[in-house]
Amino acid sequence: MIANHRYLQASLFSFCIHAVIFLYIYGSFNTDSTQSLLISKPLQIELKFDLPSQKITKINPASTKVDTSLQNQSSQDVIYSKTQDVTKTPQGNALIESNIANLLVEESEINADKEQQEVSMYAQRIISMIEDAWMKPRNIPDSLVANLRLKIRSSGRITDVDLIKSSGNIRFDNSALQAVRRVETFNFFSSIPKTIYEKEFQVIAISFNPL
Amino acid sequence: MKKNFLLGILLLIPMLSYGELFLEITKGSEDQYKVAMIPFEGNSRISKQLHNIIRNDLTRTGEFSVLDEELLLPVKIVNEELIYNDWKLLGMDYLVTGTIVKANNSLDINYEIYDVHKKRKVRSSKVFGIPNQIRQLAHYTSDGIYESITGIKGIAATKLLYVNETKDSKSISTYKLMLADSDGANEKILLSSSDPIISPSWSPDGKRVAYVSFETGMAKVFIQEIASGKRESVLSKNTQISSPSWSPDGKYLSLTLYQDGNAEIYILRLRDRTLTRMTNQFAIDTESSWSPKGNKILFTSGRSGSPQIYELDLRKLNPKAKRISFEGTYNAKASYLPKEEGIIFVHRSANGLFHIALKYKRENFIRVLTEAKMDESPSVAPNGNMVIYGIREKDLSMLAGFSLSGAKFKLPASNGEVREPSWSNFLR
Amino acid sequence: MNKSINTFFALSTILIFAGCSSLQITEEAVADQSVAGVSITSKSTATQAVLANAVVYFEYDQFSLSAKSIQALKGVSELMKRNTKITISIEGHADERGTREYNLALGQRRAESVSNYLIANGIKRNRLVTKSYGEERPLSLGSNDTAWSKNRRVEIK
Repeated sequence: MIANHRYLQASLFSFCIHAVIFLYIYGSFNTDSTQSLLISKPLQIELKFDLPSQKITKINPASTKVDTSLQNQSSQDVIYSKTQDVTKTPQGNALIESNIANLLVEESEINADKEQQEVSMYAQRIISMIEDAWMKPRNIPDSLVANLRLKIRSSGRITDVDLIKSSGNIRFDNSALQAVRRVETFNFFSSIPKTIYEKEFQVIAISFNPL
Repeated sequence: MKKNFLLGILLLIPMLSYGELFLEITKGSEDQYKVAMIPFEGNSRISKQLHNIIRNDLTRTGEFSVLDEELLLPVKIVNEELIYNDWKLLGMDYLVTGTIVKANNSLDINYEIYDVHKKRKVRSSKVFGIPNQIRQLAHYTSDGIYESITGIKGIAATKLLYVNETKDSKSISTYKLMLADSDGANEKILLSSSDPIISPSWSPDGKRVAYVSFETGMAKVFIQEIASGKRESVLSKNTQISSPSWSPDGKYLSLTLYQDGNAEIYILRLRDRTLTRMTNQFAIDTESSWSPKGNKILFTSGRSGSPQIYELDLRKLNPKAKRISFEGTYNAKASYLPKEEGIIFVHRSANGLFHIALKYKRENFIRVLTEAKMDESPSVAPNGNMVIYGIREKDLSMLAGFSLSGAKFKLPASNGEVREPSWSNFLR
Repeated sequence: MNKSINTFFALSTILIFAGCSSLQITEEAVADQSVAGVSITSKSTATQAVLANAVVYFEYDQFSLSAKSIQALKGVSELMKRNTKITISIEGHADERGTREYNLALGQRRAESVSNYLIANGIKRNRLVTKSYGEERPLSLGSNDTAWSKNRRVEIK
């Protein structure tokens, strides 16, 4: 029975449909929640990731999507085109293999998606804690920007703070440094998986840019 | 024709003390560094005095909150390391300790600053002098603490000039030009006169003052050496002269001359007393003040129909005055912030009241910083973080001040009224 | 005329007493003394009174002359034309509002307005001295409209 082509094709077809349904629901659900998280909280601090892999995840208060949503879109496209392929032209083994290969790529992309979302969730928490500790000085000019680089232990303890870009106003710079000093430790860091911490959160840059 | 005699002008070498301005801190600001100051060891009387002066200096900046002495904990040292956790629990950012070494002819103060968050010592300093310089030593210490923590140069060791007016039982006024510490203490009389004194102005090196005196029957500008009391009229011309302002290099004085009967701005080169005319138009031009780099002058001009602020670029061949105030019908007595990022000036708001305002160069709106009715004569501290000015309260003129971070303080006169303050440059 | 009458009386007295021979008769002419009048530079009280009354008032922030002021100044002008030796000092003032230096300049403007009017009326410039006290010599203390309006003035001395 297993050797029967029709059964194989049918089960493959069934699998694909289920995968489509599952991923569609999962993907859209997550995108929505991420979007609403960003919209509901107007951000005053941007988190910039400087990584050796040159990948920069920027949480921009102006936009309503995380950059990674693009990946969602493309994976959906892939799925759609794949479904069409399957229904249109039932091919031989080559197609099935490439389908499986594509599915595996999809899966890793989906995992990368998940990871991005987790990263942005922790980034959000970092921003929250610093925002709560930051008291913007009075009577400073508008549109000042100061950038700090932080070195953080896996425990969440901030070991080093450097002013990498001065706003030109010492009181403003000081207030940013003081906010980070007051936070001292991001106590939720223990719940960050080790791989993500090492990749994203050992050294971070924060931009203070009040609206 | 009447002649006014030079009666009643006493030149007192400033070793004669007058009294003190009281310093009242009336408002703090939001974001402050929390500092715990452990009483310095070595001399309990001096320690108490030091502690009070330093506490006042730091609190007045608006950027510090010094822990109440009653709440101080004993300092715990284990294995030569300071125990920081207790201080963290108290919410402290920094800890200051120190020792006083007093001998017959010397007074040394050693102080250390500990960063409670970083859990380490960040500064170890010493200031030294002679025993009767306690206040100065305290101010130097305050500045050291301030600079170490904020990275901004402190102004505790700077000085103030202002005019004091007292009236006798017959309502006859006596005017005095006064010099005092930045907290109003140590008042000295530089000049006492039966005729008005206005517009005192510090030389950049802090050794001389320029001011306008009416002792000859009309407004004339004098320069006086603080240490010796030696004074001279800047120009022998028989014309009214006022509004003196020193160039940052101390070589020039910008002035207002009334030669054609109309107030115009001139620059006087002190070396040879040559005059260069800077304005030439029908309306009033006065209240000149120099930019920190000495290449520009701000002044007040009525040429647009009401007093507004103009800027002249001195490096240009034929400098044209550029108007820089556009809000409201009265903007005057402007001076630059030390980094030239903006100006502080007197602004009359729509309801006719006068306030001190700030305008940043890159913005096109002004920020009104004071609330009373007739605020005047603002003078910016050399670190650009504080402003002192004159207010009227209950028909009495007194001095008031604020920090840009929001703290406020008042300096009422100990006797009579005070006005026209001028903040010195850094003197350390 | 007086002299002839005196002579007549003197003569008649002599004739009357000529009958009584024991009387001594003398005649003396009283000497006329000329006194040189010294003109003192201080103005006469009358002049001072005129000047004291010629205080000119101004509107807030203004230095232009009102019709009432011009009337007062007409009197000054005429006085100066009558007494060609008089020189006057024209002193401008301002109320306390605003900055001190700008008020000094405003007071000067007010003095100049008065001075210009007199010059336009034929008074020579070298008889006029203008100066300003800004807000430094208020006539009326107090921070209200009444006090302020009294202080916005030019005094002539």
